[in-house]
Amino acid sequence: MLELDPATRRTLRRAARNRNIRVGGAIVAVFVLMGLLAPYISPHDPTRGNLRDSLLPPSWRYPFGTDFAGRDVLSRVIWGARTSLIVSTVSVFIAVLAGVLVGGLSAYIGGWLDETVTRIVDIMLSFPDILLALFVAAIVGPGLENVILAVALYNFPQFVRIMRGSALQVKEMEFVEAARAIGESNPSIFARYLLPNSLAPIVVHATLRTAASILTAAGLSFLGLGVQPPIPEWGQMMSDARTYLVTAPHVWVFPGIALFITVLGFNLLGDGLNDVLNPKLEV
Amino acid sequence: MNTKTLALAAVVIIVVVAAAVLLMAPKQAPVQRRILRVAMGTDIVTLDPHDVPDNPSIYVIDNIYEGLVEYDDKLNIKPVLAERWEISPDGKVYTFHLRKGVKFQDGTPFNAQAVKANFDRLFNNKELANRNRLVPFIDKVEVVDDYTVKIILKEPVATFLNLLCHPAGMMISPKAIKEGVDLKHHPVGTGPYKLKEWKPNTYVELEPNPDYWGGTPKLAGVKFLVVPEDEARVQMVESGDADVAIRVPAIDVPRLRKNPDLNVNVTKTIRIVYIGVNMRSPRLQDKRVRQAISLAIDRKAIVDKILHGVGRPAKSVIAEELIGFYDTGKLKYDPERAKQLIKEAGAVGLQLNLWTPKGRYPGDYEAAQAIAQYLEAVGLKVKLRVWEWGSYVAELLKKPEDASPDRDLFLIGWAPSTGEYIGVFRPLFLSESIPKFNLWFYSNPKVDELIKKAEHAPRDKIIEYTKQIQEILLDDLPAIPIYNPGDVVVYKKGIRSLYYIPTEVILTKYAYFGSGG
Amino acid sequence: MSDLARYVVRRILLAIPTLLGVSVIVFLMIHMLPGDPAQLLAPPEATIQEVEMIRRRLGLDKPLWEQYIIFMGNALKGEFGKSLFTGYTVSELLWPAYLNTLTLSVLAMGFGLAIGILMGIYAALRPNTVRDQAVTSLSLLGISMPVFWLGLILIEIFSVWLRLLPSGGSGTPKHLILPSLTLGLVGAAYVGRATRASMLEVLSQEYVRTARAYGLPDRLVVYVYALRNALIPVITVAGLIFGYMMAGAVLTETVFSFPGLGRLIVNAIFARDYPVVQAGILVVATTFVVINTAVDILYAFINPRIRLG
Repeated sequence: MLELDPATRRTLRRAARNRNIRVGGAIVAVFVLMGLLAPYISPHDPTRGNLRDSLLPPSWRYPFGTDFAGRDVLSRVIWGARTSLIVSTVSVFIAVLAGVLVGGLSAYIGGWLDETVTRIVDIMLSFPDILLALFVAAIVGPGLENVILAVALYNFPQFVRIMRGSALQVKEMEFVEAARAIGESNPSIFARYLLPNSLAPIVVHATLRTAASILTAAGLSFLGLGVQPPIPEWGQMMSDARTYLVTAPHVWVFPGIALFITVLGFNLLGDGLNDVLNPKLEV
Repeated sequence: MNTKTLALAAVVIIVVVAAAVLLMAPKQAPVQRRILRVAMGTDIVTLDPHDVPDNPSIYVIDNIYEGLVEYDDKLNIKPVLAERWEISPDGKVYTFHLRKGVKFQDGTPFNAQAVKANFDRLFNNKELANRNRLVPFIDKVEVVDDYTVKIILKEPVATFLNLLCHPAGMMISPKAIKEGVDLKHHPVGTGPYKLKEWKPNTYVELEPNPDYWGGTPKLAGVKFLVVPEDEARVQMVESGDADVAIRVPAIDVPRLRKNPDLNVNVTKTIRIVYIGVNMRSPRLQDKRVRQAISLAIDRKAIVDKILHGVGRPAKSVIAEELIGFYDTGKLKYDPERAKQLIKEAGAVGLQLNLWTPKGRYPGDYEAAQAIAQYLEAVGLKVKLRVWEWGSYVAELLKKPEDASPDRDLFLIGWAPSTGEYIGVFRPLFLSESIPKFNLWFYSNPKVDELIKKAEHAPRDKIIEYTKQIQEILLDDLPAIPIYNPGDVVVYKKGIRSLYYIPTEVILTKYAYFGSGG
Repeated sequence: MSDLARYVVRRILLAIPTLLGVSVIVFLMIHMLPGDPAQLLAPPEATIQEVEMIRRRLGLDKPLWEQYIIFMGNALKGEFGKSLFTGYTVSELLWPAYLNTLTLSVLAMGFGLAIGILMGIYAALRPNTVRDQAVTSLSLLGISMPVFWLGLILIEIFSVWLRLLPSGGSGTPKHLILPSLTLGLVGAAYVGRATRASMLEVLSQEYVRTARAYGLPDRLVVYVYALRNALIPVITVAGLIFGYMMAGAVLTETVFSFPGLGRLIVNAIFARDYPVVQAGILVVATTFVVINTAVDILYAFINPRIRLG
């Protein structure tokens, strides 16, 4: 099963040596683990605190202190990873899936369909990221599912464009022509040739878009248009803490650090994967 | 070599840009009569006193318009455009003797005809938001002579003068009314200041009215700046970019008290913040559940930790300052009893929705989260929803049959802008106020009857009725009183005669800059 | 017609369908919302007659395409109707906010270009050394930085500790420093990355190496020959970033309570003031398309090769 071809093995070896991948991968791994294990590793209930213990500075009992409702900031940061993980992975996954299908089909079928898809994608891309998310929020309102929808929608056109681009290249290649000549079915050609050959840019881009999606989702929550309390979310924690900017900086500093490092991790990983999978860009 | 040049260039560019920006800042000229700059949280909505729905608009309107009478900072009634008045023995006829030599800002003289024209406007324009503060009580208004006017009531109302202190009782130039001037944007009153410019979402600037009957105004103008972020308002007073900051976060009080250049005024208000209960929600029909909710909440902790001591735990549905207040002693913190009641009612694990606005009242959003915690601690389940104010009001004001089926508990505040008890009981608890401000859809014939009796009772008999009303309301609990927020106003030392009216209004029209602290 | 003129015309024509598409989406927004559009566009306290008046004025009883024509006709005249809550026309709210955001973005772009280009050159001159890595890491940090968190940190430093600058509000140029710095630093990270990459490419090219080999002064080579060519792709990046700043300023504006367009839109979303939301989004998206078009045209002027493509 694990009989890898030499090219893949070379790529993997390069990946293992790449410092960006190692650091970024480690950060991402910590983030994912934090999100998955939140119920087991968080010392307190993230949504229930004791009001009498509100705004306590960091201590042994509450390493990151408590927020205005007496909730443990550390536990909320850990559970916040889970929220970010859900929002970013689900929305990017939806965007990739939809983008690959639409982009691939558009390139493969061509004609007026391709023309229409390209136009629509252009229009969607002329809404800057956060504006598109705001637009969706204006229509569907705040909430976890709606943030996922908003972020997925703003990622979608980018994946259509990437998939379409690489599918167009692959489509003209000899082996695809050959496959078609021997009567291979369209879905089969799509799955066996178009998809695998477009995988590298999709993976790189998906990693980078995860970073951007985490930021956008946190931004929406910061504006009050994202995930609603008491679900712990980093952007929302920072927004809530603005009243205590001076008196209790621990409430906004820690979620900020968590958000920053997580985004950094995905960016590092994305950069590293880009180096390894698209070697021509290396200087 | 290159490195240094580059670094140097970077520094030079940044410094030049920063310096240019700083130098462009206008210099403050030292003048004796200065403009009072007030930083407030939200923009005003209208300058029409008969149609004002919000406090910021009242801050501004109070400088431009005057009524026959007004409140001082202790809610005592002071004569303004009326010099004195008589009340008939049956309490139905109010005869006002008007101040002479008063002119509106468009030159029209103020007299008894002007008073009549204003009440006619209230009578004839059904869409004026505040007409029901006065119109339901008045039978007619009669001009006796140029400077005497009689207001005849349908039935005696002990607090009629209080009702007249409301902006609905302010006097607009009859000429402007007649000519159909857009009063929302072009106010014409008798007050010491008049409108210079209203720049939406940015500021409202007033300039002195040189013909003011009370002498030349003491300020070169009043400028209300719209600064939505609490921290920013504080900062502006600290840095001298504003003279007064309204609604300062309580958490900043200890720090600001240490600043020798500032006065920190922690005020009382007559606002009560309630957890409203949808009396038609199938989940809240059992009185024991409502009582358990009330007992589950530690009001003192909310005041201490969320309001940071600026405010008081609520003792009743009306504030202690109001005539008719009575402490039933029912609003206690007793989680054990609450748990027991929930068990008795078979409501363990009952899922309730709790709605809250954010930033409308001090500590609203934070308190709602704390209350959710308290309710979960006694065995209920709570789903919190944060609303934007505009849509929140729209939802809450819906008719019972159109209301969302998710409406269970909702945080809402009420401060009677008339500064008296009728302004609470009538709009909030009378059956006929459904679907207006009776947001809980509470209908109790006994309470209706008592409210009407209380309205027309002579002053010394009011408490007999209001005591019963409060006993019933705190047993039924259609609205669970939680806290009575205070307010914090911070202003520069040296500013004199800046008053805070407990109806949550900052009164700037008497203010002036004195010398020294 | 010259190649260039033909390209410019083609590029402008290409922007038109995009703009139309944008306007269709914004127009449809009010129809995607649950509820009666006329009711949504009427103030909450409006009477039935007033709602009917709005329905007639906007032609909401007519077929969709006709409504769109009315909407666009009004939009082209700069008439976006009245704000539902403030009693002002949408344009009265929109343009001052637009001007504020434009000022903020221009200043931020100034910061971003100054810092970014210098950092990029600095790194590219000694590739793969410690200082290059430092710059690369810094720009990666900048890209990963949540802009609102950066804003809070700058407030903590400059307003709370040093008490040098106001933490929010507007009115004096002082109020612009922190917001534009916040927005500019993130822009600088992108500009820095782009400058470094493009500078490295230019420096490795034959003519630069030749010039160096001929013993031309290093500074002359770097700043005159190389930089001029290296900045061409940076322009594209800068244009893109500028567009994103115009839209992305909303977070910065919220942190500093700066009365810009983004804040206007967000507040309008909260208040369900749909005429303001529609107009705001239309204006930002249009600006974005116009900037992108302008950048492409500018790029064609500087770099003749593109026109053929």
